Amino acid sequence: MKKVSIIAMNTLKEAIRDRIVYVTLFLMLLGLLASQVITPLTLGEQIKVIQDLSLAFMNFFSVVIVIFVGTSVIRRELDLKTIQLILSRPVRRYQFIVGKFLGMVLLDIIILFIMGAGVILNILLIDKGIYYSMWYFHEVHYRALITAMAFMALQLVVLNAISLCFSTIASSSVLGAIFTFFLYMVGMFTQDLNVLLKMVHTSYLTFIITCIYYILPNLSILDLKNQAIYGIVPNFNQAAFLVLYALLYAGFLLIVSVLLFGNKEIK
Amino acid sequence: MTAITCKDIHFSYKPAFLKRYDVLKGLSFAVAEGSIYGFLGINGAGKTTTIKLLNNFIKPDTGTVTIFGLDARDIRARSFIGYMPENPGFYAYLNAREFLTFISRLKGTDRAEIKSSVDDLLRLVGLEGHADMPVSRYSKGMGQRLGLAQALIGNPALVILDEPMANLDPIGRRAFRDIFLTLKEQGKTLFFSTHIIPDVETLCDKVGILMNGMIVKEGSLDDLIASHIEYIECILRGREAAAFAERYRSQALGVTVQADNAILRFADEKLADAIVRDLAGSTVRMVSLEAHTQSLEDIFLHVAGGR
Ligand SMILES: Nc1ncnc2c1ncn2[C@@H]1O[C@H](COP(=O)(O)OP(=O)(O)OP(=O)(O)O)[C@@H](O)[C@H]1O
Ligand SMILES: [Mg+2]
Repeated sequence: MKKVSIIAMNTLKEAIRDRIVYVTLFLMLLGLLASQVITPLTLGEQIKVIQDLSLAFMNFFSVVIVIFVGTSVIRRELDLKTIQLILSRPVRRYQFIVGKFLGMVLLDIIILFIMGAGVILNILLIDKGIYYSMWYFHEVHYRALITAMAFMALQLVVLNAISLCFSTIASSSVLGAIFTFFLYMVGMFTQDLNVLLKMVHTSYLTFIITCIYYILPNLSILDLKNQAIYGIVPNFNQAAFLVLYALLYAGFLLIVSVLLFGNKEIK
Repeated sequence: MTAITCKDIHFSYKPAFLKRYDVLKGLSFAVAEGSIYGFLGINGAGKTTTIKLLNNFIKPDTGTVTIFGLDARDIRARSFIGYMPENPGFYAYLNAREFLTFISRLKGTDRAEIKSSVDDLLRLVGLEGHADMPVSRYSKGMGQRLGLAQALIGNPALVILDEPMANLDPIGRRAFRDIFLTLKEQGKTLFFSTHIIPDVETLCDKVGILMNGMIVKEGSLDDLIASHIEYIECILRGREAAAFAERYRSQALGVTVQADNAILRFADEKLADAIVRDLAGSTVRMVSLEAHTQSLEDIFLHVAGGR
């Protein structure tokens, strides 16, 4: 466990010394500032619009960071051959992979805290701030917002596991990033396969679609942005199911990564 | 105890969609504890591949590798080894001190000892003035020095170095050689690959020449050289030197006369004794008597050429 945490902390250090994190956070800040300008123009819908925009920015930019950092985190070690300096020590390969993964999870938590604080502030400015007006039809459900952010973190953890898995297979980090992004996009629509299922009536097609449905990451069920805006919070059972789903899915991919990496030739 | 044994190793790279490529075909050798072993071979002979096997980066198709009696796949074998890759790469976001600290922690060095041991290592390899500079700004030779420093972290009993002298200036080369000799004095085992023959000649207790996936020649330096005495050269001086030398012409490889000097070349060591005996009753003096051995370079080129 000690080795894992040393590698995790080094991974985190690598990420937070990487320009990409700051560039992305800066772009996010620009986005939030822009939303402050745009929102007052949407008469009566300010509260809804500011929440929509802020959460969308948060989701998009955190995914960008995770994909860029996540796919280079293993690949760079292989390309620079720094991995040789680690694996020639008494460090097991699974400790290396798990350490990398946990380092990325720590990064997720940190950037979501920073972004989350920015988003809440952004919404507070509209909700309680200078634009306060009596004809607001909506109210902000802060508890639901924070819940949605927590589930966003789970989504990122699944994405971390996907990018980790791809970067142990893919021969370049660009390729890994493309695959991860592709699977993320697909994952956002996995739930829609249900609709497809209702339309087909051939049994083997139903079987195939059901299989795909269960294999693909179902990222959209972890997306609680829209519910949050209407103050809908999942009950305990729903939340427990989602957490379990995300952790099992990520855990499964982590095991696959460890197995793939265990037999990899280190060149 | 032997530090490294490789027994009948076969290894081939199996690139996807391409033909498999046999690199090692029955490689066997042993490295005695406390010795310096030079691993020679031309480009592409499989030196780096062998070193990767020792580090368990790749696994042999058949054969066994042991490190101090433990299978190379055993995680405990790792703690004996300090390893310096060829052209080592480093994290651009860490400076030398941070990097060495990170590796020390992975190696399991006590936290209290890390700082002083890292300082010592930086001083040893001559990087103390560049410890806080980002490694991305290092020259190749500086990288090589940092590579050696990280290999020595945690005082490993076996140091494996893949072409450690590449990219070094003469001063650096000298410094490395002194470090290696000090390590040997401390009882450490060194295993290194190289093409640079003078380094092997002044350092190694034993060399092995890798070719066609096997060790084609192995031995202590003296053995390798003694089995390759080319000729003995004897220089004689005196007014009768020419006449004296002529007496041996039939047994010699060559006789050269130049004024009062005569140079006799012959292959048989026993002839030297005869000449010395004959000299006793003559006015001719022997100025020098020297065995010309093939240098390791000649041996290496000879083996490499005859593949
Ligand atoms: N990852 C790889 N995939 C396929 N073939 C490889 C791989 N690495 C090395 N080889 C091949 O294996 C052979 C041995 O390579 P290796 O790097 O062990 O040689 P070397 O003796 O270290 O050479 P050099 O002196 O140039 O460092 C070479 O012919 C090389 O082409
Ligand atoms: Mg090599």
